[in-house]
Amino acid sequence: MDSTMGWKQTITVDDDAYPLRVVQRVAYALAGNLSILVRQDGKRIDLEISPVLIAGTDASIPSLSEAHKLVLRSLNDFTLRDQIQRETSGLRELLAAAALRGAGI
Amino acid sequence: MGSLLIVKDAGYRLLPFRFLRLDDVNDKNILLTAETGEYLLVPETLLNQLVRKELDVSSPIYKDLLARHFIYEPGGHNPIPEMAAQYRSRKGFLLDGPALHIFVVTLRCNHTCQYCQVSRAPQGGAGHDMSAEDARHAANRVFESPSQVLTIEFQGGEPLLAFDCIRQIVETIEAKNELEQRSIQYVITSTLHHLSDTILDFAEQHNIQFSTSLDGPAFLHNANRPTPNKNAYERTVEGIHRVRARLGHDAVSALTTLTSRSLEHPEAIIDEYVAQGFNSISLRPLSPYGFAKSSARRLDYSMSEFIVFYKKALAYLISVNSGGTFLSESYASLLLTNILTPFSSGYVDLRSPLGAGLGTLVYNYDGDVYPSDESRMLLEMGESGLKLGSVRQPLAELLRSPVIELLLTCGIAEALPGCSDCALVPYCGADPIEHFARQGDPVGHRAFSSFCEKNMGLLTHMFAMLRDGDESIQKVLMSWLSRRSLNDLPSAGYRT
Amino acid sequence: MLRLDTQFTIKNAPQRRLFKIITPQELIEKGVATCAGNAGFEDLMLWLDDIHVTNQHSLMTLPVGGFLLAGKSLNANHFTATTLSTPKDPQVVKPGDVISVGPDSSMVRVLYRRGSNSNLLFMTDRCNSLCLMCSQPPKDIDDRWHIDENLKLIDLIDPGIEQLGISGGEPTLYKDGLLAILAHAKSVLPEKSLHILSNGRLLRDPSWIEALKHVGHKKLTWGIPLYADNAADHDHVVQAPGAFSETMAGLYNLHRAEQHIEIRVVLSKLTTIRLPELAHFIFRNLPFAKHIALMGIENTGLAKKNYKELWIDPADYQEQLSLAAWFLDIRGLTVSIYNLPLCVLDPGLRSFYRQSISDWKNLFIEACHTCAATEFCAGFFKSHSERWQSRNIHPLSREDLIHTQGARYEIA
Repeated sequence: MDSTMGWKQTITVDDDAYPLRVVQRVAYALAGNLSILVRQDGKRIDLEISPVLIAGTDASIPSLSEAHKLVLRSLNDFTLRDQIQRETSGLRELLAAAALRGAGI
Repeated sequence: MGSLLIVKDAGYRLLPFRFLRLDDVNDKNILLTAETGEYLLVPETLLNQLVRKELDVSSPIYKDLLARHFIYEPGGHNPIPEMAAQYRSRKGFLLDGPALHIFVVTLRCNHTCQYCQVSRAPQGGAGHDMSAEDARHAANRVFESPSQVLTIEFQGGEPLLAFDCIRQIVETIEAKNELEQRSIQYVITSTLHHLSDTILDFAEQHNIQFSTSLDGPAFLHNANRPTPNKNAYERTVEGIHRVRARLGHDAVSALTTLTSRSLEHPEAIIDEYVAQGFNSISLRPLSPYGFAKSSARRLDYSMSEFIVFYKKALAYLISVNSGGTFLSESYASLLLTNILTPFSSGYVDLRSPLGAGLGTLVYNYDGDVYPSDESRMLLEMGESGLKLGSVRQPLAELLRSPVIELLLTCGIAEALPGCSDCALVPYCGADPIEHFARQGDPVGHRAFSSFCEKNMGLLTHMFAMLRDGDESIQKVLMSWLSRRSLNDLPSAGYRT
Repeated sequence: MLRLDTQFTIKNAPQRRLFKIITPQELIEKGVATCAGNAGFEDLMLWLDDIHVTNQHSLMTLPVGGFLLAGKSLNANHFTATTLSTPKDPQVVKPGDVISVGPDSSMVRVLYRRGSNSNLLFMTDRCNSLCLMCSQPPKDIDDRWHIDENLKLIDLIDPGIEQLGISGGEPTLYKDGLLAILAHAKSVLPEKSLHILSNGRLLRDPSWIEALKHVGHKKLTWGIPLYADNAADHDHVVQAPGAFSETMAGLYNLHRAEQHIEIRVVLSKLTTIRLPELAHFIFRNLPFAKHIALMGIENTGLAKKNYKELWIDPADYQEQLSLAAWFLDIRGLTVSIYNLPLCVLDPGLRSFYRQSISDWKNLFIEACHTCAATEFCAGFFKSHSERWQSRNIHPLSREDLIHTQGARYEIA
């Protein structure tokens, strides 16, 4: 039994650097391994993290430091995705419209 | 330090793309996928440079990113027409309408398979057979689909127990096709225990193919599929030989259904398929429907256990192929088609928008119409909510059913939480019916979805093989992609 | 190797016109039916040889358009009909050929050669690109007269199965003329397959779609070059900014017009470096291409002065060639390799090799004398020179060829 099981940690971020929509996506994506409670207070967002063990899988419980790294990395990844999405917004729709037009619709 | 050009304004702009971290095995551990489905494996540093507009415009990777539609040059070449062409080609199935029409002609069966997805009715008695009237109506529905290419699949129970029904349906459809001139393929999924010369004559006349279940060698197959005489394997193998002798070697294909006992014998299962001379094997995990769900414990295994098994089986299978025997794994082959070509694989269970209803229709023995085989099985579990209507209603009306509406809302992966950000979405699909069955919610939560776990696991494994596999592995994968023997493949060609 | 023009002594040719060369035998047997289309006796030029010397007078009263006195013993004087005699090279013009004769020059051009594997309809010397390796450097002139000449030529050539090329310069520059020629060829020579060489740029105009569908020629292929998977590199090779975009647009229009498309790549230092990537681009974006032609470079025209940028020893690009060819082949696209000597080709690529180079262009060199493969090899361009010669030229032995998977005899 992992001696660090049952740990809890809080990561605090600034809304300017990691907007709420990014934090929510991180929580969703990591839900299989980590329970992340998101609390916002003005510009400050707290992520309350604890491990989760799903019955029937053989995934091991992440340690506190593994979880910390995973969450930070995910925050950066989803921020990058958010930036890509903002820079390219509208282009997906343009592409879909062009594709449908070309199909004679 | 070299000729690093920083192009902030006039240089290049991003096209919509997604990324995924593969593993830490290799420095090219970031998978980039474009909206077209083109991909590149790059180091993390490159991803950052790319987004920060710090790419060296004279570098080969810049040209790769441009050519594969990750970036474009404002004022330069407009890539939208060719991207639209690729997109149209990948999603072209949408315009075809339902191409796979499944006729559940009876629920009667002589097996009592524990993972059966159908509630079984006793062998004698036609109480659970499709009526002639309903069969006639269903044949009309088929031709209301615009698809030029149609597959008519007979299922059950054991469809051969209602052969007269099959005969009627084939003859009705053939008669209508005199005028329609579609390209039609008939398939009967069967244990092959009830073949007769009459049936084989008919099959020969109408070019009907057979699909059977072969779970592995005798001990495995018989353990999974109890019959009164405990000889399911022997009779199925006899049936395979009989069909081949009459209709040709490739007239019968086989697939496995894997129980937890099966997971212990990857090599034996593959060896059995080699021994029986098949050229393709389908290693399917159990679905969460029918009897499988209720007899859970003894049969059930986690998706991650399946993935471990699958990787082992695949490695063994590849070595068998390298040794000169062509035996492809069907799911791997269709994933390769999705990854490496701008075409859709044609597989209805892995597509976005979903295949159920739009690509497949199921005409049940009782005259009701369902969007997929799985949704019919939910019926057996007491859930009739996914019925589209009656076989007597015109297709246009069936497809306006609120069920289709619901499925569409939850059936476009690019719009689903989790999937919309996922780099694998161009190669994957949406399955609201499976999510409904497993999670009680057609949208489903990706982190707890075994559909997602399976496809992510297998797709990332394929990418790792494409990236790391040696020439002999590449040649086997290419032989599956092109359906050619290794003899005709002296080189695996350019690998991206 | 045989040239397409030679000088004659020409008498009584008041204006430039075409003639079909016909022997008395063929005249008796078929008359104007020797020609595929609408031909009259005035279009025929009777071929007279030494064997006809005793009948020369009576033969020359026949109501044909002219006479070609091939035999040395024949007398060209005292006749008022158009007469050709004393050819500089007597091998150039033969029965079945169609020639162009005029008062302005003693040069007689062969526009159609019976039995040749590379007859073509020449559309124009004009071009809207200026490729670094252009083998037919463009001229800025109004040469619309080629259209009418080609329409007449179609009427006079032999019926029967063969492939006719249509090229230039850039054939699409005379849009209506080209469409008229396609329609006329379909009507007069429907059995002949046509192969148009075009850069495709002007086909970005969507009005071509309906026009081509309307013509509906069933045996027409468009050979369109694409030199890179990106605009900068392609535009550099063809020396025309925007060409890549225009050609891509043209290719999609051709596809919409249900045309057969062949993508051509001239192999040079500029194109071989990203050849596998180009193959990937073609497969992803132009999967409807019926054929991909990978071609050795011809040292003629503008290629000579651009040697530094273009020349790469084929021995040094065999790996790229192999990666690209197999990539495409595995994915179901048909690939052919042309215009390279067989000995420099990676043996693994022999199944893609076609013995091409038009029969009036190719030759063999000293090193080829003991080679067992000359029967299957394309040889060298007539324009070949030492600095354009691979270091790997060497005679192949029977042993070398034994495991070759059929290098098929087929013309580009």
